[in-house]
Amino acid sequence: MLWFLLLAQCPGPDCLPKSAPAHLTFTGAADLSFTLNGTPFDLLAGRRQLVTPPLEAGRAYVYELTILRRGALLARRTLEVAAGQHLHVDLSDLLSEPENFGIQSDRLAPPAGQAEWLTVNGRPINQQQARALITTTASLPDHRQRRRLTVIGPAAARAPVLARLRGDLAALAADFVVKEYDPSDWAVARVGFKTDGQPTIYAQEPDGRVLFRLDGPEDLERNLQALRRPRPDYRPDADPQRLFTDPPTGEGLFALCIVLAVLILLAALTRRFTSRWEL
Amino acid sequence: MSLSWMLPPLCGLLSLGLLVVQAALVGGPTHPDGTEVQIDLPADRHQRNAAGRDGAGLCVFTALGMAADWAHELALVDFRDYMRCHPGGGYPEKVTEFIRRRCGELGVAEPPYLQIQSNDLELLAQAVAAGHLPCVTYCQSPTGRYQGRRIAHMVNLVAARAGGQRLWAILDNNYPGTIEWMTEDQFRRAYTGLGGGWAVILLAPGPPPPPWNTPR
Repeated sequence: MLWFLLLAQCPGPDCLPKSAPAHLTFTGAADLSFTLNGTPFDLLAGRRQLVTPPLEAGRAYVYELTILRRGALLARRTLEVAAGQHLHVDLSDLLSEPENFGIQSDRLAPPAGQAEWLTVNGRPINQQQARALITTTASLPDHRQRRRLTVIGPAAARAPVLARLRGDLAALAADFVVKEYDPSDWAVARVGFKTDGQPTIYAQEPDGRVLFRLDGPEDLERNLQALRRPRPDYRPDADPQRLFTDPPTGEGLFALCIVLAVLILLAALTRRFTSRWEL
Repeated sequence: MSLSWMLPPLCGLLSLGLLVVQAALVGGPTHPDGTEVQIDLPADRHQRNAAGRDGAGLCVFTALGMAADWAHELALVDFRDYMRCHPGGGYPEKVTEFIRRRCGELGVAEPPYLQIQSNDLELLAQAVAAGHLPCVTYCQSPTGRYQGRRIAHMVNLVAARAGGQRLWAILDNNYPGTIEWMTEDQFRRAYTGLGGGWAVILLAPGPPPPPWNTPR
């Protein structure tokens, strides 16, 4: 059995001579190790015993315990220790919490009183926006339904094109998702895009169909304008206009009642005349 | 009368049944029932989790790095490596702080991103359908990874209510190169089991679809 002397947090000049060490026993799997206030220890054969320096009676001393497995941090705990105490620390029990790959789960809960919490770039969204976002009618930017304009080339070739798309061509480009890529980028180089233009400019339907491709910036404006020209095969008279039927209004009901009353009256008169002729 | 003629169709039906029942499995971007992931980040772009300066994991920043790769937010693609010299572990305020810090150091604007602390899955499903690659908390593997133990982890969501079985699928940065498929109930348990779900969604669009045209 090995005994180690720990440097405890002495309360300073107020340390009283009437003191006693604490005895700490650590157990757990042999592949675990731990540090106490930064000092590393292994679990030899699954067990380790340590003795603190003399601790002042009646005071609580704090040790920061860090548990590791093969050097990877698993958990942090705080141990409170008193003079003369025999404390058994089962590291395996302390690990009943989830093995951690990088989440501080104690900081995930929404602020007190909130069932959910949404932020955009760290700024809380107000309740109305939050409700709008989390309902089924919410609208995150849905890029899959929009045409794409993709500029591929060296940065120097892309820059003037992008400047125009943000400037004098902004209105024409407003319908598009505009992205720029280096020719070697995986997102374009591996899926069939031509990448050797200065720059290459693709306009695509949302499903990928190419509307036009340019290998330089010269005809960009005219192509974008052409996409906004009216199609010769469009016939306004073929547009559906009324996809609904009007519910009966008060006036309609009144007219219906009058028609019904007239019909009933006619039926009654007809029956009366018929009866007389039979006599 | 011999019933041996019934064996092949029975075996076929049994196999089909197993295929339909076994939604949760580890595989590739296509589930055995034919369902494909909606966000298909190539396998060689998958990043493996690492540890920060103090040994704590960097799953949050690894997942964010892959989401940034998908959204072409170049400032954050190497977020995991940037964080190696900082303490590991992540939570919402830390993500905000380090995105701001990283973009400030590079002199670029912060990308727009949404953080959700909620157990609601609708927004996640909507985000995937709209072409985003969300980073989501994950506390238990339904396929038996991590010996079935509870974990504290962040992964990327690559499919939500996809295909006939309405499957969900995640890309786990401890197992790059593979996709883990599961049902909605299994995903809900995995996402919310740390006391509540947390998701980070970069809002920039993903890559353009592969080009095609009608031959002349």
